[in-house]
Amino acid sequence: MAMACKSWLLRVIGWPLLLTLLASPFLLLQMGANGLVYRWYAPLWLLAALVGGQLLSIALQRLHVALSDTKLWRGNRLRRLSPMAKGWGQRLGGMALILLLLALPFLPGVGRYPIDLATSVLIYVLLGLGLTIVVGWAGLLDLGYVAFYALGAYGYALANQLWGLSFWWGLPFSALIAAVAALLVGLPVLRLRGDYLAIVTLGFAEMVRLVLINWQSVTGGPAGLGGIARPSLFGISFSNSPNAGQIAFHEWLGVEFSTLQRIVFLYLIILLLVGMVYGALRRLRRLPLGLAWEAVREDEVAAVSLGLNVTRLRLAAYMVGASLAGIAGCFFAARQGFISPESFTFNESVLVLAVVVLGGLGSQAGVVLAAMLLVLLPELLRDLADYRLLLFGAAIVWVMVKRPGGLIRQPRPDLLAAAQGRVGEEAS
Amino acid sequence: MSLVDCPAVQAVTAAAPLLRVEHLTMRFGGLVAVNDLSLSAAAGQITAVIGPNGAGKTTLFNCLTGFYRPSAGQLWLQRDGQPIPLHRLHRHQFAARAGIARTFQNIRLFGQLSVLENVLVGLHRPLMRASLGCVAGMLRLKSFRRAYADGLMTAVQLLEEVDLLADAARPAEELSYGAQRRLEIARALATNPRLLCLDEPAAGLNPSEGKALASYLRALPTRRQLGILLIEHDMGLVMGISDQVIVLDHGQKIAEGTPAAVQQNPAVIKAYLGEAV
Ligand SMILES: Nc1ncnc2c1ncn2[C@@H]1O[C@H](COP(=O)(O)OP(=O)(O)O)[C@@H](O)[C@H]1O
Ligand SMILES: [Mg+2]
Repeated sequence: MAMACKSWLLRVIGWPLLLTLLASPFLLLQMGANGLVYRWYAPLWLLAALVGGQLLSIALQRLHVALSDTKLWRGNRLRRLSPMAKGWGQRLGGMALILLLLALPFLPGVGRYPIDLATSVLIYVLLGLGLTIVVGWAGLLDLGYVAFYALGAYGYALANQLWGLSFWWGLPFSALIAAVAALLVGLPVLRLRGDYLAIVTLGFAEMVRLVLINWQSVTGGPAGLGGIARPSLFGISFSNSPNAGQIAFHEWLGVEFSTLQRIVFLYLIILLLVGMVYGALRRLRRLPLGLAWEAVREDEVAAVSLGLNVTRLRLAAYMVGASLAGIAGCFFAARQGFISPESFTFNESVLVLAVVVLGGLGSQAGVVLAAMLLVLLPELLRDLADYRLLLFGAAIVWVMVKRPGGLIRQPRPDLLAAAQGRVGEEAS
Repeated sequence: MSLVDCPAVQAVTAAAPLLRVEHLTMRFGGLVAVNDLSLSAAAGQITAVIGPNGAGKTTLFNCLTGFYRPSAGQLWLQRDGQPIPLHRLHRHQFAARAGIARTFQNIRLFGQLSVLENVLVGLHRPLMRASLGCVAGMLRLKSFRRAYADGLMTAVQLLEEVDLLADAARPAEELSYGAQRRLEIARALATNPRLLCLDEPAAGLNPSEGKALASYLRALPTRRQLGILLIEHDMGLVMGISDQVIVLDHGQKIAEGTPAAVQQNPAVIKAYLGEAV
């Protein structure tokens, strides 16, 4: 009972408070007509909205549970129910969150900087989600994840320069390149014990970086590649001087040109990508494939005895994870318009790994929260430039000591409850 | 008329034992863990394999389930009237192709997965086929939803049989020792095996749990049309439920027969009690 009470409090007060704290630096200060305006009340609005939303969602869940027969999974009635039905409250809460995120750039007082920062956070969320499949679900330690990020970025940049490949075709192209690379690296290694992968991936990432630096004629060497095509929206360009055959967004809409338009567009694209990937992974995790990955992580020997092809399963996890990094790389290249090997160092692999570990090895919500923390924290600590890394490190250590399972420990899904649409019912 | 069509040959294959082990030898460097061992096990029966520690019982299981490649010898499993050469299969094919499932002397569950999920992993093959790798599952096609619901039903029934349904949502690592042993059996049965290999399933159980296990195992072969190969040190359990007992010592078969006959066998008594008798 005490446990239930605690989780209830966490849900209604804890999470809203944490999110508000994270968001408050952007809400407190607003660019007014005559300089910065300090708005002490702005975070309170957000807090009130979040608490209200949680209460509503809980109320709806209770109602749903009360209405559904809770004792019917015996016998054939199970067959008629969707095995993966979701609770109403959850669905509504999810929708509200999506709307809020979509509306974020249009909220009053949200300027260029927060949107840009949110875009950076979302790139790391995408990378974190990809790596969480490999490390958190399949239990393979990948120390060179950044290699696939780099391959995706350079893959799109080069294909764009050579063949004029557009951003939207670049996404699947980069995913494919990264997946093929993962296949070539993983095939010989994953036959062996999983532990070897850590070393090989480390070497592979370094190899990719060195090739990028030294293959001047193709990759531009340390100077990198520039002039990469930005995303367009069905032929509508977000630049001041669009290419032939393209319409400029500000002319099309009849407004003044502003780079803010492109920044918002980029934010919406990565939000869409992350949203789709997040939803797909939620589904995937409960499918036989997701379950098999976790089984292999838990006990390889037992998994084999049940007929699981461990090598193939690991390879699949490695490739899916890599292809998500490829997509993130493609977006990164299109957002910056310029890429160089500097963006793909070992530090980047470590940062993404920190996102995954801090998030609780396999928890998707944890990845989102950890990415927010790890990207925002250094930004917030900018004033303390000299002590930044120290504080950053201390914060990570503190979290790992206080919550060794990561920020969010994902509970096992109660499949039987899910089969009856009882998802989200509090354990009591 | 080919040889296979000949009625006499068919009659022989129909009566062929479920499992045939022929001249199996397993060496680890200089150590011979199993030495020129031949035995057979029948469908619908419990065949116990007993012997002192280090006799090579677990090694025999590891050869039968693909974890070790035998140094010499042949292993045949009769399935759908066809003998399948186990010694030529790949590790992960033993469960699907031959229908062999096993439990482990040192329990090997998927600790962080829920009890129900552990059993669902045993149903991996049919569920994976229904989800077409992933496509049908990601799209939640009706065919997959139905197959998944069927899978859940099967898992629920298996858990009910071993009295673990109430714990379905708990992580497997939280279960008591006896419950973990039962879950391992349910998970193995989820693969719908023809031959079930149990490595010391009663080890660590209290007497009442042992009794419940005995009656459960006794009914299993006829109910599920499978053969059981049982390694066990609890002689009460072995003698109570086995149809056939095979005694190993130093990797060799020293006796074989009904429980009563084996208990009288002087070679067995000597192996268990030493030279003194
Ligand atoms: N992988 C292995 N490597 C080396 N020796 C092994 C291995 N597996 C088993 N053995 C040896 O084979 C012999 C038989 O072991 P085992 O089959 O586990 O006996 P039992 O299960 O009958 O107690 C033991 O001497 C053991 O040390
Ligand atoms: Mg043993």
